[in-house]
Amino acid sequence: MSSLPNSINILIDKLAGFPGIGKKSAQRMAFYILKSNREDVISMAKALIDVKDRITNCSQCHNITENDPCPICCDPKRDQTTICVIQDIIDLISIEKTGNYRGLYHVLGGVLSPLNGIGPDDLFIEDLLQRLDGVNEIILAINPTRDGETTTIYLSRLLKNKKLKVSRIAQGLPIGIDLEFVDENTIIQSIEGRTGIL
Amino acid sequence: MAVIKTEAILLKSIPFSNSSNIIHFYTKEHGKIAVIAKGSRRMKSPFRGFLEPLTLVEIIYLFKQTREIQTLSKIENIEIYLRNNKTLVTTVYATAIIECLDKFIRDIQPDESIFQLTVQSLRFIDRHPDLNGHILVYFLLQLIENIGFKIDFHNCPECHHPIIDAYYHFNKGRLICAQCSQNNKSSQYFSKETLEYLNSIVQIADETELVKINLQINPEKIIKFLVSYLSYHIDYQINLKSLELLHNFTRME
Repeated sequence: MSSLPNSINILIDKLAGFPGIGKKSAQRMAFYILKSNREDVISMAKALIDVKDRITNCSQCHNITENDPCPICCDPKRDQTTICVIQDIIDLISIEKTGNYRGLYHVLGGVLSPLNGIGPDDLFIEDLLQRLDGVNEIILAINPTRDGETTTIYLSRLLKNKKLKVSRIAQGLPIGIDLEFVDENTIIQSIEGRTGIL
Repeated sequence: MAVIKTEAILLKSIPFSNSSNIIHFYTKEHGKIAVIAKGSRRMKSPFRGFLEPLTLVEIIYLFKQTREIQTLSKIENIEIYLRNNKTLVTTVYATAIIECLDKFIRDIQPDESIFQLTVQSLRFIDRHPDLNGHILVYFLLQLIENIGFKIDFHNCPECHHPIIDAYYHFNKGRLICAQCSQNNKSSQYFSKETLEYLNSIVQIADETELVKINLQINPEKIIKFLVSYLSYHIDYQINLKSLELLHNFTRME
């Protein structure tokens, strides 16, 4: 039985519920909180509550936002005729970090997965079809896994007769990798998807 | 600690912590195993690209008796199935083979014949994607025979006469000829053509015999029956999630 006061034990249990945080790390964090001054702890607790209360999903692209529609969908400087379809919000963050893409996004909320029984009705596919007015290009930026491929094929079939340019992000070797350590599948994709340089 | 090298079929991959995956394999020599692929979700991991379903791989893992989850050390592809497949229905049927293997074979004991059956079925579906559903029927019939619940399509267990058409009685767990059957709600009818179809599939020994399959028979209903038959005999209800997507994909092909 733990010799710690009950309130500390509850805090440790809650912190240990975070991904990648074990009991030992949770204990360290709990003692850090205990040693912190009251104002810092209150602002941390407020931040946690605010995240739950104020963050919602954009009704257009399903990105997370405090105001619906999200700043990306509302930004008049962005190319409103191109939509990049992504699996999760985390992928949006990765693409935005590059600063290279200036179109809109659509977050599917996952990928089709026959093995896990995740079908089209479990994703925001219908919502994508509802926002195609005025759109010229759809970029499918879905992870190149088996399930990702299934989703890409499914979406390309759905978009086939919509008079849109439908493209997918390139597949192949990441920058800075040694060919020696790359799997056969990736090498095959790289050769098949090679681009001319002259 | 032992270092084990074996051929394996990837059953499923579950993300674990920020950078790893726990992988379930059905191996040729050691049955079902779970291994941790440390760092496999990192950009430069040597495991990246190898941990996808519908592949036959060779793995090397560190085995410790006291551990439930072993440690993956090396992985290489031997065969990749449906690499260029653009047919969603074929993906579903191939995935269903893997799901059956995962769900119906709970025993961790190795069974090389089941391993070879799975590899052969995946090869069939890779080379003959147009026969996708029929190959799942083949896989299920062979699996049923392998685990000891072979269905007798030839003679009625009641009158011992050859079966022409029959009813499968779920409450008795047996196929009974139409003459001996009193049709009730818990039975399923099998026409002469369906029984001939099942008989021809159960006898397939190699790829060349796939041409004998009667393509007029819709395999979907038979697959449902075979899954319930297996569930009845192994005493727990199995629902194949992959097949639930079939109707979504069929209308797109």
